[in-house]
Amino acid sequence: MAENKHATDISVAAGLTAAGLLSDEGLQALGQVLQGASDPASAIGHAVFMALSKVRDKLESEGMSIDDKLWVAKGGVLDRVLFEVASVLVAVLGFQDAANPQFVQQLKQSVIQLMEQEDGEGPEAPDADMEGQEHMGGMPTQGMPMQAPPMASGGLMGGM
Amino acid sequence: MAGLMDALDAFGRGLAYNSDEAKEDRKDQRELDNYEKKLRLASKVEEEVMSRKRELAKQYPEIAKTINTPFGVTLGVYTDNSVKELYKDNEYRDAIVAGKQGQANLADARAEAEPVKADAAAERAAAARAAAEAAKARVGASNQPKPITPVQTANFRAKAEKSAIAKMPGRNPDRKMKAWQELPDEQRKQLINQELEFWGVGGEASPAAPTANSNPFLEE
Repeated sequence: MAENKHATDISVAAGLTAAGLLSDEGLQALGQVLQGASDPASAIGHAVFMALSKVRDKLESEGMSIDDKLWVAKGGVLDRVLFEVASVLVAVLGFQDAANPQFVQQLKQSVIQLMEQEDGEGPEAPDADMEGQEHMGGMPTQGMPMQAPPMASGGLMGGM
Repeated sequence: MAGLMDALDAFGRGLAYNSDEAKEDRKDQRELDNYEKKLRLASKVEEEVMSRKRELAKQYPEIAKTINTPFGVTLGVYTDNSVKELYKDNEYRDAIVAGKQGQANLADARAEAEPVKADAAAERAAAARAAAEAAKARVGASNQPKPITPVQTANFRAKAEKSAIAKMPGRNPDRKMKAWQELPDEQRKQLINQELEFWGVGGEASPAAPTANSNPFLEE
């Protein structure tokens, strides 16, 4: 039952995150983030990280917290979410680089770094490659969503 | 009296409620309820994601090819085929497709968090093997034939003589003894040896006499 429990936890967290990123608002946010980004992996990674954080907070508030290891474990939540994000980036947004395994690895590393920063230092550390205060990790400020892509399944949690 | 019984009853219920077993039961039930809640949510969320993908597939046909593709299996649907390389790790893919990703994660987590236990188990196993070897040696040593003492020799010969005398002709024990004493020494020794061999004490299989040549009971 312990193994099934982990699989269920991964399904819940990854499903909620993917649902948010695949929603109209999520796709719009991803498109905006990609536009003009000098470091697409970092930019997309930031968006994915925000979505994951939101899901994690929501699950904890509902009393359904998930083991920390499952978020970044092999085959865990992050892997499942990146699987969905990569397919959407290529098929919907036309970002062919997302089909490259190296890009996906960079994307994963970007998200993991952000998670470690959040766990270790609290506020996100500034990117060393910043071109200026206006840009954060290469993401354009104009049109940049101020918050993470909203969860399309906002009614899911309430419906439980 | 009725009030006293009710009070005792309530007291008993309180004890039962606060017992370790009851607490454990309630904890298990909460965990089960939580798990079932997550199961329902996981099922609902999965349906939501699939529904969204079907909706996207109407506009972007490429997405349709991923709807029925189990997570972890390489997509391989894009023109440059580079997506096939996306998740190439067969173990990880098979674990997820077979619904075993929890086991893999659990194994990884256990290996990461508790490497000491494996070492301790290996040490215990080595100690047990050493103890088993030592015990085997002790048992083996105890099964070796013990050296025969002179007292044992004398006892066996005395019994063999008594048995040989009993086989002398006649019914009267005195007559048998007399007949025995009238026999020459050589013949008496031979009869005693025959008794010993008959008992198996003087044979090769006897633990007291490992070899016939070294039979200590037989007199030359």
